[in-house]
Amino acid sequence: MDERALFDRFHDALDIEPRSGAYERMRHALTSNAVALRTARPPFQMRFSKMGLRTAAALTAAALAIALIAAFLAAHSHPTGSVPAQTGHNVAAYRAMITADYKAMDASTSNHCGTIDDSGCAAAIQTVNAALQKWVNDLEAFANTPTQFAALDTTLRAHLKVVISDQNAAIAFQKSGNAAGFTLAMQHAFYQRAWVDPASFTIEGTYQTVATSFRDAIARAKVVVVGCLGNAPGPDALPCNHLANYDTCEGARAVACEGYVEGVETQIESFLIGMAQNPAPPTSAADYAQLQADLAKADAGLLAIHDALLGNDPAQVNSAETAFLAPLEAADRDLATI
Amino acid sequence: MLFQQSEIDLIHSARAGDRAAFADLLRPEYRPAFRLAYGLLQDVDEAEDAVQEAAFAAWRRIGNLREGSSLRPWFLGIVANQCRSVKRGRWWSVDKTEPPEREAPTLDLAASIDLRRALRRIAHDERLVLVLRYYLDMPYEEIATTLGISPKAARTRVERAIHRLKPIMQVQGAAL
Repeated sequence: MDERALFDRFHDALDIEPRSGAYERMRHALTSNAVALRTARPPFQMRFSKMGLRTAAALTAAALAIALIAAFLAAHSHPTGSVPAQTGHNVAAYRAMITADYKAMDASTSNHCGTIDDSGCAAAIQTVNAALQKWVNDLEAFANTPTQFAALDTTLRAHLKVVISDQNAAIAFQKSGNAAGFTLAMQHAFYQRAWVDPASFTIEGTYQTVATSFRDAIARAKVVVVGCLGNAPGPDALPCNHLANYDTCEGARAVACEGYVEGVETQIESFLIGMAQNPAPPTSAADYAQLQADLAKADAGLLAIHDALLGNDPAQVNSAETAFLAPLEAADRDLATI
Repeated sequence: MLFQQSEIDLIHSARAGDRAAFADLLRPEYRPAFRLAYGLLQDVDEAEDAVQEAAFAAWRRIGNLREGSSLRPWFLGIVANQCRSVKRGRWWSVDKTEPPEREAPTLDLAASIDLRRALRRIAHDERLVLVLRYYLDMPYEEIATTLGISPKAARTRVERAIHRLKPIMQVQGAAL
């Protein structure tokens, strides 16, 4: 069959136009903050029968067993003890673990916790938190994390842990009737799903290309980091610049600061994804690893700012901003030397 | 040229935090994005949801859009990733039935149904390149930009996907 016939065949089979008002509905959702928070990838969408959950659990257990066996074999295949950090087996085992845990997490989600009045929220959170905790445990037990994913691994663990703590905080806020606290905790937990997906897909090797080369990955980080710490930040660096300059985050400003935190979390994740997709040449590998480690520390500082905002503790916010700024300045120095 | 300038202005405004500018930016991309999502998911409701969620993801990642590069391939890449997540969820749903067949607009209804069924049986990445090529009518260069690969690799992926699709169609008693 020639190309023209294939075009015709696909158009005949699939041709359809968007329904009337579809774009306008999306526009409304995009421009409405309240709707945006609710609809931005609901992480708890229950769509699984009990049989589905049992099947998921069985498949997860099988995949994890395979991953652990592969990890064991990778770790013990070199009798000298100097196991290369990035053997093919090791990468495959690590990816298999990520895939299994991602699927288990996805299978544990449901459609709860949209509002503080949801009586099924606490139980739903316990289910998904169990899956998240198992994922954290698996990451921490994995020997010889592949070098190219070291920084992503560190940040992934931190973000999984923060979802658990956010959701536990949401349960506490629900019990005490603190609607603002509940919303802030769940907003960040919802957002984390949009953080976890790209990180997981990058490790699996299926995420879209973020940077085209090692140099491109560095250049992209430089634009934001240098802009963030300078006196004339570009639009991309503004959220970071607000945090680096200790903007007031008290009272109503807490929501704005939370927005800055999430924006910079996304930027740092993008840098780390671009770097994971583009390993450095051997001569720059050490500096590259240091840069990624410093960016991961800055990301930990962002999560500390979020925790302080959630705890409504201005002094802690200031100290967390320092914990964010110091590694960012280190990353700035790394970028100057690499 | 005027349109390109306008898109650049909108991108700058969106990067500075203007959600309305970002929504305006997506207006011309909505139709191809929806068609891509529908081609991958074959469900109107899921396709609309996927495009909306992709729009949120794109908003969060507007800083990833390179200076001077076109919005469309970047956004379609995000839509494709979003659709893959939807399909992952569905994979776990062991008792979900296949969506009902939509009435095809041509006389060759059976052939259209066969093709849609066959597309559901191949992998997401294979389905993606076929939908981009033969439903969104993209040249290989644009497919390459969307997927972040070379044009030659894009052509190879399309050829492989066709190769995968053919025997499935034959088993169903149809030809491609």
